Amino acid sequence: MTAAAGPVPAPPPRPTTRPLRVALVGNPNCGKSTLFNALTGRRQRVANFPGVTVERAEGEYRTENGAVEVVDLPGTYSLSPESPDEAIALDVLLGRATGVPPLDVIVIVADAENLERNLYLATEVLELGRPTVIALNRVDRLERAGLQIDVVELIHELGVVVVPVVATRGEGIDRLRHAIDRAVSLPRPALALDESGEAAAAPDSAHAAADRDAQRRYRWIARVAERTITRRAPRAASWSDRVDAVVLHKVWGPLIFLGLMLLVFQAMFSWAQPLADGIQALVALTGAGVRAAIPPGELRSLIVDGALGGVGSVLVFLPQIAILFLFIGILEDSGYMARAAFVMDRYMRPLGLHGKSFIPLISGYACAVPAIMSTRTIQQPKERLATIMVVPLMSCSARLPVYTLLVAAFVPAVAVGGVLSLQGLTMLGMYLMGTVAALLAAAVFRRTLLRSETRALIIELPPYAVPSVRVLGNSVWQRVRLFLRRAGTVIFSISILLWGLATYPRATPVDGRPVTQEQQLSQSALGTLGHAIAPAVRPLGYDWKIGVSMVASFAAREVFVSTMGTIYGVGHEGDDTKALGQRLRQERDPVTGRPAYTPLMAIGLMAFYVFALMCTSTVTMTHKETGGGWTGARWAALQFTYMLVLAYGAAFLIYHGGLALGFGGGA
Amino acid sequence: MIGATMQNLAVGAALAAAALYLARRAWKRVTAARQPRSGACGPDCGCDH
Amino acid sequence: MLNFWKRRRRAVNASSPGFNCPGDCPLASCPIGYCALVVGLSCPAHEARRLRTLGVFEGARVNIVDTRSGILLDVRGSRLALDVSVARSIRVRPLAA
Repeated sequence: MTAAAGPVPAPPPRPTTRPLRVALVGNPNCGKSTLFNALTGRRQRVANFPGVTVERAEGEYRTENGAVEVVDLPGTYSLSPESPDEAIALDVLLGRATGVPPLDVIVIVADAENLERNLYLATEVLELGRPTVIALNRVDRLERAGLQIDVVELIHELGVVVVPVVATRGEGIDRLRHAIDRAVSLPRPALALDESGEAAAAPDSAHAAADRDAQRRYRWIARVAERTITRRAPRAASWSDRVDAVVLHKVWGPLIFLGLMLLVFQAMFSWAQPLADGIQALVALTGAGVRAAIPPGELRSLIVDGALGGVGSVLVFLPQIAILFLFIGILEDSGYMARAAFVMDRYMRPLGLHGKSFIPLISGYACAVPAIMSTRTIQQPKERLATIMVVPLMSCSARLPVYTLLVAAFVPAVAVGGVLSLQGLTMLGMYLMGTVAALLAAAVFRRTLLRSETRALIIELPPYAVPSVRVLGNSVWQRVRLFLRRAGTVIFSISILLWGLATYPRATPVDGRPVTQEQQLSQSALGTLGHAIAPAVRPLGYDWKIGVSMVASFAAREVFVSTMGTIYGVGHEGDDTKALGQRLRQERDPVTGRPAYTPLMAIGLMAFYVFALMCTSTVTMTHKETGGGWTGARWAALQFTYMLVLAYGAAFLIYHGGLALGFGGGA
Repeated sequence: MIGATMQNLAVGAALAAAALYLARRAWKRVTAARQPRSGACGPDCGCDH
Repeated sequence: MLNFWKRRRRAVNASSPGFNCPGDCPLASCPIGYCALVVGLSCPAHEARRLRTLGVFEGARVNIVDTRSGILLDVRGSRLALDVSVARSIRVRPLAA
């Protein structure tokens, strides 16, 4: 610890024109994010897993003395940074983080139930000598835990104001705000741990010094604890331990985990269906309304076939995305995710990954972008890089529209074993294919480019908790809103442009006969582009329409569906009540008259989407998180290339393997 | 009643607006990638600040 | 599930009398239900530092909650999960069941 350096000059008194800058710092799972919400009223994602708050969250509130800006720092156990997010916390506290103005007040959030360990970080922060307030959170749980804390004595020992709060119920928040306001004018904390001269006098080795520093702190903390904490009864084995005995079990643990995953996918497919049907009907209704209001012409075609066709075909997947995020939220907030990491560590180790790599991988089912951000809790740089490289192979929610469209169109809805459907199993198969590929790719990376020893698993298991409906609802809403915004902006614009490309230039009539929709599409700018791409996708069995949709979806995967929606909207003026999947099934090859799309092609196409990295957001995030600049660009390029090669290879193998086995026939 | 010319004009405007929006977005992303921001978020990461 | 829980209880009780550990032993070989005093950390420095910040330091008391799949510890009320290799490198003095 070098932060214990000399006295910090006192900052000038608070000017009334500038908002007060406050940072919240504390251990993971101490309720810091909940307190942040209670203080600022700003909603933000709170989860039970250590280190989920890797992003910086800021909020603001007002008092009679003016505005107060609050920044919520990543959870950290100490100020000696072991992982990137701990380093961020340290940089902000020391005022050396770029783009973050220096702080006026530091609020240490300490879990009262776990005071001794929380005090470790507190001693380090207090040694910075900045105006500090300690928020003693979860004091309501002390009674049940058989603990009693003498707050007055604690204030004496630490030399700073300690405010008991219950962040979940908003108790003590006003007093905390008051204490923050006054902290600037109070004397700076001057923490003097005993034997402090010893560490400085022995410069033998950095590690030995760090060891002694930790022991020195804990000796001091033990003394403080003796004076302030009264333990009435030893903790009995809690029901949480009883649950853990089963959930962490060698055999039951992985089985429970697999069962939960199966449930999630089944729910995603079957629960979402009625809602998706509703949205489909709504889109059709809107189309009919527009048709009634506007006479036939270019504009009507643009709105109905272009915009509604494109956006509508993506909107249908909103329920599934909401359900996926709901389940991931429940698993995180209930405290199960950390257990899953622990259970899965045994299986991750042979692959060269850490149990903690498992959480980013699971988050990858939702979206690779936050998943890559959450790799910051992995301390070993090469383990972290390997995790980043394979996270996008986990099937994210943007692939769902593609899978769902193709599964619904080409996989028969046959029940398997009574409860499961063949469609659900196919979906699960796609997710499994991506997951297995991610694990294998990680093993390859860890044995070639990113070789290093795997770090031991040391993980804190947060107590089980019933997820708050408000927090869950909020996190699902955030995702839904983001999806809607994308549908309303990017996908809307792309749909309109694609409609233009599919409509112009107008085809010229041959032999005086009217131009068919097929001819029009084929002769349009989009058709020309498609025919140019066709040779590249021909080996996979696709026609130029899929080729165009694939190219368009390099911006984002769900664009594939909206592009197909637009193409088939243009080709089938007047029957937009018919779902896209049905149209695909009925599409005939203009030359042979056989079905243009077969189940085999659909499977190959899904496999392509399992592996291909078609997401500009992920590429940007990989670039940023692997070091930025040229280093980051190299990793991002490698990631994109290897995934594209895998995708093409898999689609090729499936198509030609299937043909060789005689699966080429129509649906 | 919207005439055919009006419809064509509206379509032209819509196409231009869509192209402009996407171009501006792409440009913003390129410039953002060149100058790393202090915050952890990219434009599309979903954390919305 | 209930039977499983009962079996576990019996297994713990059966193993306790057989556990004989004069002086120090690795944490990994402590049976379920024991309380132990940490006397030394012989794992690599970065792991030792991590353990200390999490409350497993020389002189700390830990309760062994579960040892059948990794090691589950009660450290002052918080649950800490370790893999066996880490638990082998932690030397403890068992105190009492």
